[in-house]
Order: sequence, then structure tokens, then C-alpha cells
Amino acid sequence: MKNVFILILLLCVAMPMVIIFYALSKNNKHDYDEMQELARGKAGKLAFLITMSLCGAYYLYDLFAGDSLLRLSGSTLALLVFGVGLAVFSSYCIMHDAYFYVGTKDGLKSSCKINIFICIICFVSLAMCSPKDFFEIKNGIIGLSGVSCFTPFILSIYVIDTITFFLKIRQEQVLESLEE
Amino acid sequence: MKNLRMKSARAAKDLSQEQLAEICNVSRQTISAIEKGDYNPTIKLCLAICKALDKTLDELFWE
Repeated sequence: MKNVFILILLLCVAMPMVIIFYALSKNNKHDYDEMQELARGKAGKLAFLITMSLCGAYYLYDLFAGDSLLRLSGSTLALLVFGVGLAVFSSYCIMHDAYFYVGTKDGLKSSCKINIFICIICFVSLAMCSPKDFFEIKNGIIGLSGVSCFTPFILSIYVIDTITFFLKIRQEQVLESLEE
Repeated sequence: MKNLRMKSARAAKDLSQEQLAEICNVSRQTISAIEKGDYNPTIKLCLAICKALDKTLDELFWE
């Protein structure tokens, strides 16, 4: 019954969201320039290589030490790989000026502020829960427990992005002072 | 290698990197990277820059 409810919820909420995002992206007049496209391509390649390496490393770990140590459940591993890939892609794009569309004014600072705000919200929600709300260990397998398990992953991605924003802002300040 | 000819042509036109980027419909960082020699632009962008600065391809990009 619970699964049916989740399925209905997904159909009612996720499907209209996908349609709306698709319609919005069709009308989106913003674009990346050629250098940004190149950087985004490289970022995608790097993210792919890192996630594949991560999967390979986990496979070896599972093969040699999985029986004596803890294993990750399929969903935890998928979420971990997705999070790492996203963090690598966004960090690379931020550092190579390919994160914002052409003509975005003051994107770095405003995005940094939004990221800090989201980090604070995630920290608060994290502090209100215990580790058991996020992960559970059953038969030597680390699995996800409940919807709140996404919070640590979201927080990690936003923390990495915020740090990258700070580094990029600092880099730009240094370059500007050197040019002067 | 730095593209000083493009930088001086831009300065002669009294344009900032931001303004030139707006005319060429690229980001300021792209213009900066071209001037620093960190990025080789496509012929399409070279032409857009030449048009914006009233220069020929030879004058700005030929070594």
C-alpha cells in the first residue's frame, strides 16, 4: 500500500515537474559559449572517469574485503556515485567559468550566498536527526533508511560547491589585483 | 602566447572585456582567456571579434 502511494505521488508530482522543466528549457534563451561548452565537455568526461574509477575501486573492495568488512547496498552506491559525479562536474565547471550562462551578472557571489543558505538548512536538518535516520546496517550491508537519507548527500554536494565558489572568488580577486 | 594585438585593439576602441564579450555574445572569461593565450577561439568567434574591433583576421590573429 505504501509503495502504491509513493508511485502515485511520483506520478502526480514528478511527472508535471519534468514536463514543466522541459517546457522551460525549450523557452530558455540563455546559452553557453564555445569555451564554456568545451569546459563542460571536459567536466563530463572527468566526472565519468572518476565515477567509473570509484565503481572499479568499490568492486575490488567488495571482491577482496567485502566478506570481512561492510558492504554498501545498491541504492547507497548509486547515490554515492551520482553525488561524486555531480560534485566533480559542478566543481570543474565553476573553476573553469562554465557554470553560469553567458551574460550572468554577479553569478558567483549570488550563487555562493544561495549555497550557504542551503548548507545551513541541511546542517539544521542533519542536526535534528540521528545517524540511524539516514543509514541502517543489516547483515553487514549499509543501506539507506527513509527519505532523510538524501540530506547528507545533498549537504556534501553543496558544501563542495560552496568551497569551490569561495576558491573561484578568491582566484578572481587575486587575478584582478595582478592585472591592476 | 598572449594576444597583445587584440588587447590593444580593444583598448583603442575603448571597450572593456565585458563590453566586447557582450558584443560577441560570449562570457568575459572567454575574452580574457583569448587575450591571455589560454584559449584558441573558433573561426566563428575570431570573425565576431574582428567585426567588433573593426580589424581583419590577419591583423588580430595571424602570427
